[in-house]
Amino acid sequence: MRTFFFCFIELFSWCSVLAQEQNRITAQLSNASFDEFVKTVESQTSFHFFYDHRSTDSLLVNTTANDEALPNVLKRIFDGTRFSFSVYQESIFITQGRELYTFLPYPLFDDDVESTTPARRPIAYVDFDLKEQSKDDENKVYRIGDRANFNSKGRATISGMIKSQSTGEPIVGAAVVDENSTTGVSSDPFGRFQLELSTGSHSLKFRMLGMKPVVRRIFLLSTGSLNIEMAEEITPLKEVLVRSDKDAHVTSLQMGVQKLDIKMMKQIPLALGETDVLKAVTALPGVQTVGEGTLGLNVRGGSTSQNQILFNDAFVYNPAHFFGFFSTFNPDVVKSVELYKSGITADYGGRLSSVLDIRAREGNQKKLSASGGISPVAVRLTVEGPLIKDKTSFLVGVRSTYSDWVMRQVDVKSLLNSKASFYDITANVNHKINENNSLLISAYNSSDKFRLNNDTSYQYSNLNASAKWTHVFNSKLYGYAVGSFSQYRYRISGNENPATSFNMDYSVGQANLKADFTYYHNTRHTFSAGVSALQYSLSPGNMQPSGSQSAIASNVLQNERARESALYIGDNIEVSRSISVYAGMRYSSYQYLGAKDVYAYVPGLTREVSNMVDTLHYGQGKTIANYGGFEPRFSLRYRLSDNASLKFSYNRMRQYIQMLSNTTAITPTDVWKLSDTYIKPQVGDQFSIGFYKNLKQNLVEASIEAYTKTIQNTIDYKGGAQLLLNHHIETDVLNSSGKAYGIELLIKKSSGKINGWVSYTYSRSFLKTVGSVPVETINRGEYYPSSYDKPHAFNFIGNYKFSRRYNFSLNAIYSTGRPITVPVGAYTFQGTTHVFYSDRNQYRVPDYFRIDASFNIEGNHKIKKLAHSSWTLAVYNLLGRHNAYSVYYLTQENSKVINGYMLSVFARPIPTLTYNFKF
Amino acid sequence: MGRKRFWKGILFFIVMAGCVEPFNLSIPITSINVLVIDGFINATDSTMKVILSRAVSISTSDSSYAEVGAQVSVEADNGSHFALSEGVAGVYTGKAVISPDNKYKLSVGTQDQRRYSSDFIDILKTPPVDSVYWTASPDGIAVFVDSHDPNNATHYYRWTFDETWKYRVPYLAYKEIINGQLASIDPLASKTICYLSGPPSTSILIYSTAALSADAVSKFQVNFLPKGVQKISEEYSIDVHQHAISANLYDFWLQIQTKSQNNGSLFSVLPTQAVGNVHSDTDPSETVLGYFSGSTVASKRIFIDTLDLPLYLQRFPAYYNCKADSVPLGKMDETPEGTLFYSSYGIGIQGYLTTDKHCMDCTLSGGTTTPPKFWK
Repeated sequence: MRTFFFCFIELFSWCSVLAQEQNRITAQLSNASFDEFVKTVESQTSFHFFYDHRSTDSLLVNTTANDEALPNVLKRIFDGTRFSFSVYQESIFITQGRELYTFLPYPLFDDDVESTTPARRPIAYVDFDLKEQSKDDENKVYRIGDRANFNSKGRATISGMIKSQSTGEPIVGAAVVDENSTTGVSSDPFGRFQLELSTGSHSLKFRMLGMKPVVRRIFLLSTGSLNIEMAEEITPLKEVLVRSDKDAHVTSLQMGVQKLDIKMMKQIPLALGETDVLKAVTALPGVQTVGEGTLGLNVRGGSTSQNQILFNDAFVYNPAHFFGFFSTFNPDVVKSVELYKSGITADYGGRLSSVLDIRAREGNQKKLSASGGISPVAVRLTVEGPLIKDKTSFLVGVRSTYSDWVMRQVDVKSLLNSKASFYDITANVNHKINENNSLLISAYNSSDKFRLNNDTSYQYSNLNASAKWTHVFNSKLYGYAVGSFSQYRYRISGNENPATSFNMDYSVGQANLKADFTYYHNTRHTFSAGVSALQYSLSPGNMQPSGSQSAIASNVLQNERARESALYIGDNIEVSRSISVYAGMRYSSYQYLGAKDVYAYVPGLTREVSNMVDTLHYGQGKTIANYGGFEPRFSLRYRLSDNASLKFSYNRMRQYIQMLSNTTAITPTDVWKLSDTYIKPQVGDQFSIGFYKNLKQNLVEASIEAYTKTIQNTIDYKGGAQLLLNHHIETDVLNSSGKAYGIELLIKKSSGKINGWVSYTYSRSFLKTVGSVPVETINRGEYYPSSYDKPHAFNFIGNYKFSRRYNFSLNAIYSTGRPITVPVGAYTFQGTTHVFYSDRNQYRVPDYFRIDASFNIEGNHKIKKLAHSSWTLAVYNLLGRHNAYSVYYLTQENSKVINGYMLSVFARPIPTLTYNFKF
Repeated sequence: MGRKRFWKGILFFIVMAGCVEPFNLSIPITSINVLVIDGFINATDSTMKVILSRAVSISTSDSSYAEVGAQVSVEADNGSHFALSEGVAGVYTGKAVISPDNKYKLSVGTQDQRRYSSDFIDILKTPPVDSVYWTASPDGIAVFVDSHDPNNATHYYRWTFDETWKYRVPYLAYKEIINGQLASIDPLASKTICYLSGPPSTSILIYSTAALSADAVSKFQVNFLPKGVQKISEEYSIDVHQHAISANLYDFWLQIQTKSQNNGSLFSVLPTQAVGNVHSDTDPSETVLGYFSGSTVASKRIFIDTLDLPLYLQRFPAYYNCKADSVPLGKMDETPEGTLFYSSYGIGIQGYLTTDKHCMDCTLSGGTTTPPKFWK
């Protein structure tokens, strides 16, 4: 039996050899399709081909055969391609990737060991993982470009757009890699990619975290495009590790950037059960806040007003709800948050410290869906869906408190008549006009209202809108134009006494137009350029009596207007494989405009009311003050190895609007002030250097960054300055300068059963105020620590997935206590004891340490069900540590004793339960 | 203005989960060598008074101590020069003819050879007090002041006050042990009714009419007398002094007031040193605290008779806590000198009743039996 088998195979081989020898062909083909070749062969021989037309349709045949054996011709054609051929009698099978055996696997029996194993082990066709791939697109070869422009030794550019199959949203940051040459790019914020390759056959792999990888075989004839839809990965219940391209950390030119996506933010346990975009940002190295209940970010020693917080391209003046315990961004609507701390490119400008770019999700283009949740503080609902399928979609998210309920639970007499509530609404419409044009219109409104103890009530709101038009001129040039509008306003109403009832209104707003162009010259150069025009308008205070009995005189500050325009250009240069450079230049110009009255002071004397000599009136639109200057931006990356690099960056920023605040934290009633005759624009310079290394096959990212920063023309206030309703604010502010430096260490693991990050930051931040007279000089004109100078900060954010349904998160936050000014002495004046303060910010509150934990339970993982739901149980301040929110001193009534007190806001563990759903 | 109350919102969280606990930084007991100058020219009675003291460390329990032996003088911009002399330690006084047309400046030379001076100040003219009046509530009596400046020139006001009250002890003594003998007390020399003056007011009472359409002060509360205090048990008198102050001095007081009301929230105004108008000539960077000011003073006195109060406020103070004791006649010679008796007891006279001495002698509570000159 065994012998028979052997014989049969021997015989078969002989036969086929015989058949081959008898079949010779003559052909002269140039750039012919495979079908043509088949026709030629089938007409000359009795052979018959079996193959898939789709997989061979881009195979070009260039061959000259003169009475040559068919196998030789076939060998020549398929050499270097992915195709193999097998001959069985008079049939020729063309297969892709793997050879088809026309005989039984060998050795079939134990004693056939002498036979050699083929290098490429053929297997049966059914094994081929075709079924798993989406459609048959993976086997098809896409011909890109125009055959007429084909140059077999040339290079061509392939570009395209990557979108989500389920929602139609562009996929940002997907990796596009050519598997042969291992060159790759990632998709830009519009989901676009562009890659220059040699012409010919390539296999492109598209990868993105949470998406099924897509492979496209292409035959690149000339420059052309290829659009990709990626499907969301529904991971089988058995754990599967999905890896996306994670070497961007090392390979990208950008430094000082942290990107958080909403999935990661939702895992961080937070007080009162609300996922908070800005709170998550404060867990990043280099970002500080002055205290638990505030959202003002201090990035690398900058003040809170030096951050450009953008929500869908529109500037947000006050990102805080509810005294600052929550941010105004609905977590269900946010897609991603990117924080730029250094190496800020030329297209951004206007703020010194950072850019916080918050992007909202675009509505689902395929089907109507809703998501939402309920926490002890707020309820959320988001509805999204297509207006025109695959073309236009909308998204509306609403969040509101029901917290008067919470207030009512508080049994404190003084708060019985207090009320606090907030809401926010985000809406956007995304319309794809055609292949090359798309439009995104976004609107956003947040509003807060609170009244304390039945007397003074506060209302404040943000109103933002933006429209962005993205246009692709051709595969090398694209651009966008965005118009945005932002307004922040507040009203304080006092109704305690009918004789002094008042309403005080304040508003600050800006309208912005920006056009940005990106031109891919080649793989070495990517140019970008743009223009921006910005108009500020402020109504800095309008106090009016309220009610007929009020004796309050109306007090209106003149409106302020200014124009800020900028022009910028930048070039991303790939000098060599190891060196990349970004060089950019921005020129900004600023005019403070009339109509306005400006006071003049005696030259050389301090600006005081007593030194006022004249009032200059400027007419409508007249330039009162004019500032401007260049803002160079530069970044360099030097690649040390495949998984390590060194980066350097320098940037200069100018800021023409400042916030005046004499409190430690930002409050809703802080005052913004435009640069004018007396208040000069702030200028900030930052140098930073960093070392980046990826470990364990890019699973772990490690980095160390160091920076130094100087700030000019920042403002400080004089003791007892009146900041609200001040007609001559220049008499109450002082010019100061600042410096900051620090080192940030970060180790981050973004995937796997255990993920999270550990960071340590050493940073210092100082201010210096030297006035012309001693009383205007703070701390004798020496550098003193700013209120947010916290030298040591340690953050641990960890997440452990027990299974697909259960995961556990733990945070640990440590930082040095913030500096404070404390009473050190006492003195008697007019019969009473008063306190005498230390140097400004000479002492510190105790160090801050907190641990939070949360446990998240996802609903079952059936793909098809009505709603996906999840529960989150979180405990904030697990150890119940009494962290100092503030320290203050009070003079005892009827005695001269001054006592110190420490106030802790969350002084015990706070458990919360949050329910989220999606359908 | 509204920011002051902002912190109350934070209270909401405090009551939920927050806590307040005593806190003391370990601040080294450094010798704080800061001179405090408290100077005032009263143009109404042409007196000048300058109090010099030194600040003390908060870590010590000492109160501030007087700066003695300094050379203090006031000079006018017309060249006139007045020296002040030290009476009580650290208190320098003098008299001069003050003209509102001149500007004045304070000069101080201390024993450690340092020189200090003030800015030149204007002598401000204070408008008269229109009225001082009171209203009663179940909690007590509030005293208010009204004023206005028809010239619309004052804008910033400050008040101080002196208070004096009449009070009565619960027991009328009629016998006393004098030289070991029981003697009758002359009813005219009885120490039943006394008059007592409190220390000058210490509250910061300032008001600005700058935001109002008229330079008028209406119903500004200067004092509050809680129900049941001795001050309103018989008759009460308050003398309210009104001072016109400069905008700078108003700011100075405002800073001090803001600090003493600082509750420590992140939304409180950051503490700053109240910057006065006095400085060191020897070392311009040296911190000097205090203020030198001058104005005419307008005063108005009112009396509040307890009988005019609503009945719910006419309560005799309960704090005397008098315990009666009887002394039989036989024990009279053992009774200490000065013991007072308010009554006899028994059929005939078996002995006398006495009680705690402060219940029969009002002078023991600090008052004097002679009414002050101003008492009506």
